[in-house]
Amino acid sequence: MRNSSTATDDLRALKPLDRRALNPLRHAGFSKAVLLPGEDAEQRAEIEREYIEAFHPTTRPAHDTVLDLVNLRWRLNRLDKAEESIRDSILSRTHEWVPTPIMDLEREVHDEEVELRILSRLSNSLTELIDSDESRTARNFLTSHAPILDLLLNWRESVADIEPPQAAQAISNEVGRRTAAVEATRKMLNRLVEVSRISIEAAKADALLDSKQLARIRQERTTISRRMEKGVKFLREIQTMSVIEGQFKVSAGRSDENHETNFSGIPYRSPDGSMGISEGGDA
Amino acid sequence: MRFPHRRYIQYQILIGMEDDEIRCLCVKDNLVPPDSPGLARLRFDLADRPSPEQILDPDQGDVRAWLGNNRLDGMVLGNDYIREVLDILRTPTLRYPVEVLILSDYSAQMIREFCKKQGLKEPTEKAILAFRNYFWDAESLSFGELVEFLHLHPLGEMYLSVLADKDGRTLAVAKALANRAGKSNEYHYQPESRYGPLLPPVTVPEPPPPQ
Repeated sequence: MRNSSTATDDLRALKPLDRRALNPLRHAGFSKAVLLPGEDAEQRAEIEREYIEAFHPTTRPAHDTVLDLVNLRWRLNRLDKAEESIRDSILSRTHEWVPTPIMDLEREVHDEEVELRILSRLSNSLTELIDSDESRTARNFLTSHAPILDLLLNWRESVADIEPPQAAQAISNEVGRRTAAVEATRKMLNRLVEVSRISIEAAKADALLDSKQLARIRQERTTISRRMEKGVKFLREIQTMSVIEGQFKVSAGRSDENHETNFSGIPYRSPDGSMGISEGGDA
Repeated sequence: MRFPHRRYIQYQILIGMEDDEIRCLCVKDNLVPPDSPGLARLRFDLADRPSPEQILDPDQGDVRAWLGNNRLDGMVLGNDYIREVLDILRTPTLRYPVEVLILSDYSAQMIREFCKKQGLKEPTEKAILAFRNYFWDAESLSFGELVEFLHLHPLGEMYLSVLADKDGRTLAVAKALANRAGKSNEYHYQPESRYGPLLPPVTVPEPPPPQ
């Protein structure tokens, strides 16, 4: 028989999947639909107007290509929105999944460890100087490092006012005391992490899903950009083509090459109504 | 990005601190922590710096001259006024009014007089100048850089209002900052707060309407 805590844990572990399912924006990012519910038709029409003004399509193939470009541009916008939404939610969900006391304690332990690292290093350097009987250098060491040591030690008097051997001993004791304190805090943190292990694992899994989703968005964006590039190239070429014996041919700069008449897998008709030559074919 | 506490960060680089250590120490001192590109640029600027071992014996070679040329000698050599400088830095009721007054181009003598009138610990003029050199060298920043920096400063909005109306706001803001949390000179660090001892909100009286 399952106990209640296990069931709760299972529910918690499932939570990120539920959230994802409820977030249509992520999936809509990959949709090929012309307009999705909630999208601004007026904005899309505006883009369409701008593209038509920019390319002035005079033939049906050119017009279709421009509409294809508008579609692709609109899908790129969708991907941008989806990516932004994922990035925003990563941060908020991390806080949601990992309990605040753990996050705070982790930060605190990290800061303490950095401070301890500085103190240990300075303590070792000072001890080495004293052991090698370089008392003047040890004094200079304390003087030059007093702004940092005084901040970290927060003693009533400055380390620059203490004789180097006594200072070295006191700093070494402080390092030992703080090491024990940091270790104890780290243990406490580990226990808290263990208690919240399921939430943390869920956060990790969630983050992994997000990174996969982001990679997919990047890939999709590259594919769309390439198709747009191809479309624009096609439009430029189609505007300078001439009709030769029912097949159309690129005339500007590339008179020896036949134009590729497929775009998005659809053969375009030449302006005189005949079918264009197939991809890679000779005139 | 450039910082008014550039020389304090340079001092930390000079004594061999790592990037994360510098950031940690800055936060502990309520200073805006430098970002990685900013730190990389400062390290690059100090490419010819003496090693942490060399600065322990400043009379050898050109170390002392190098420190002087880079205006870092006071802190590395432990000059007397540095203790006062750190007192200013770590005493919020002294530090923030001094910052406001320096921002409004008050001279060290005028700042000293202000502190005396407000019943604050009076720093020497040398200490005020050194505080400006290490922690509040706003003059070395362009106006745009200063505004960018103040957006990261815990009291940046208030300082921007001072910059917008130096004659009308400076003294009122400095007085309010000097009086907002008693006259304690003790430095309290609160690890849970990014900037440590953020003091209670300040109400600055509006300047009188123009005659």
